[in-house]
Amino acid sequence: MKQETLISRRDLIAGVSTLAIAGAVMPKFLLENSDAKSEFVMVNGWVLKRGEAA
Amino acid sequence: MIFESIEQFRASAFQPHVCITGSGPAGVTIARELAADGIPVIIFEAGGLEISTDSQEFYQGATTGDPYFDLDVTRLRYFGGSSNHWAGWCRVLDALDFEAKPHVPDSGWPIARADIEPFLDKTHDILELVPFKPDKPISDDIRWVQLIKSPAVRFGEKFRGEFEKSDKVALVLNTYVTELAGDGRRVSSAKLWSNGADGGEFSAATFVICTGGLENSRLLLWSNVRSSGGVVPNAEALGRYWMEHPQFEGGDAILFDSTMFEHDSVGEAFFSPSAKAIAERQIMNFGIRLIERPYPGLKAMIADLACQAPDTAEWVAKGLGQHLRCAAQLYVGWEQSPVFDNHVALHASEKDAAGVPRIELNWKKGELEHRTLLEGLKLFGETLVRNNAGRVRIEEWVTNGEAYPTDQELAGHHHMGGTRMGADPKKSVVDANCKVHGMENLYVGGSSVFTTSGQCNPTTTIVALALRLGAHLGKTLKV
Repeated sequence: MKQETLISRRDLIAGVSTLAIAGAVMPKFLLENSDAKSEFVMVNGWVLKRGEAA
Repeated sequence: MIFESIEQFRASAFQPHVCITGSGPAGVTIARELAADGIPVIIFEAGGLEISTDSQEFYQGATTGDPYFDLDVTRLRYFGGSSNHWAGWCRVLDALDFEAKPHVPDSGWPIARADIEPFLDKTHDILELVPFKPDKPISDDIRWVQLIKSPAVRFGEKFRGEFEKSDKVALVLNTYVTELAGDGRRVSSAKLWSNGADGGEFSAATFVICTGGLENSRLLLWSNVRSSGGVVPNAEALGRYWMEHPQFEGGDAILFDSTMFEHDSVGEAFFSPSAKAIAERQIMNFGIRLIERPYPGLKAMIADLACQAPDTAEWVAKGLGQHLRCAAQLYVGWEQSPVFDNHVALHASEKDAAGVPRIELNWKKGELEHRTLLEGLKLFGETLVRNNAGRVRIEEWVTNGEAYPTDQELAGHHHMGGTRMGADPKKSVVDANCKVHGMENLYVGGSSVFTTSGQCNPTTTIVALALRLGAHLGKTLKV
């Protein structure tokens, strides 16, 4: 793996900050597959554990 | 023996017992098996030894339905057929591919995978394959499967020398079988077009059609028109249930630790569903091709994950430079359900230079295809979560059920169905021995006999089925 292909922690934190704010003002996430019995949810295309999503 | 024309062949004293049309993997394999049994064979190849635009022109046709490739580009018309441009990916259909599935109408072969397994060692020899590794479950839902990137045997190059020396196989080039004549019980002769002119008729005791997954239907449809149904007496399914393997980039993934996967010689890994997952999610078989490589989208992808799941993204960040490997693109190739309306038809007005109507192919993906793509990516994503191995992001057009992109691969150039195998003559064209229902001496080789398509590239199964048909004919015809 070439190092330059990996995002740095600093970049990531900056990304988190920026995008988390952006996320906070989004009207809502697209929640799909929200079967309450499922241990998974799909949020904006991401397949996540229930409770993992922001 | 190799002849440049039917006239040149007629000057020989060779008396073939079996007439094969087409010299692709199926035709060549069947001919070699018969020759090994001492049965004299003639193969009519419509093209020559090399590709030519004049020959390819005969393959032009029209398509309706979903976007598809030009029909003169998606296959090759010369010695070796489409093996001259295949990529070499190999795998035999899974055992579950042969089974009927309640949620897939008209699924289920009349044979099982066990019926072709005796022919797999020889298939591997022909295609120059090392033995396959068994599937490895990585969850209850997903199994690692092996597709082997083979040397992509070009059947024309590989077997030209053998045919030149053979006293049992006559390969006649530049000779196009335009139609068969039959009386509803037997085929009596083939009408030929050789080097741009009428080549007369040719008679044999047995005929085997191996002209490819589109052309087999065309030849039999046109023969039936010309003989008033005398070649395929039960023709309801003729040209029908045509299938492809849709292939699209359906998503991507961040891999926290990909050492749990075995990668092949080109750094890729393939994943398919378990039988349980297929039944529970009511889907078809699929293959997710994981291409692990650095790519510019990684940074944005992690930032996007941070937006959706900040704690996970922070955990990912801790892995940077440690166990975090990289991102991966997820290409999905999957099974298409057999649908009556997906079909090869004869064009109403367009004909080739020999007067044979061109193909009009109608091909569409349906709801089951979309569900398979979406649920397949979900299953893979859920497996990564359960194994703490990564996270999957599915493309928006997939999650929203939007139209398929038109700037991707579209499909695998895998032409299957049209003369499908089955026990019911109303829903199939050939029986379990690849013999046309109701006919005594007409057989079909190649992927047009596939009842369902599975998820893997068809050539390995084509060769295995051809060996099985060759063995059957050898036993039946040997005197």
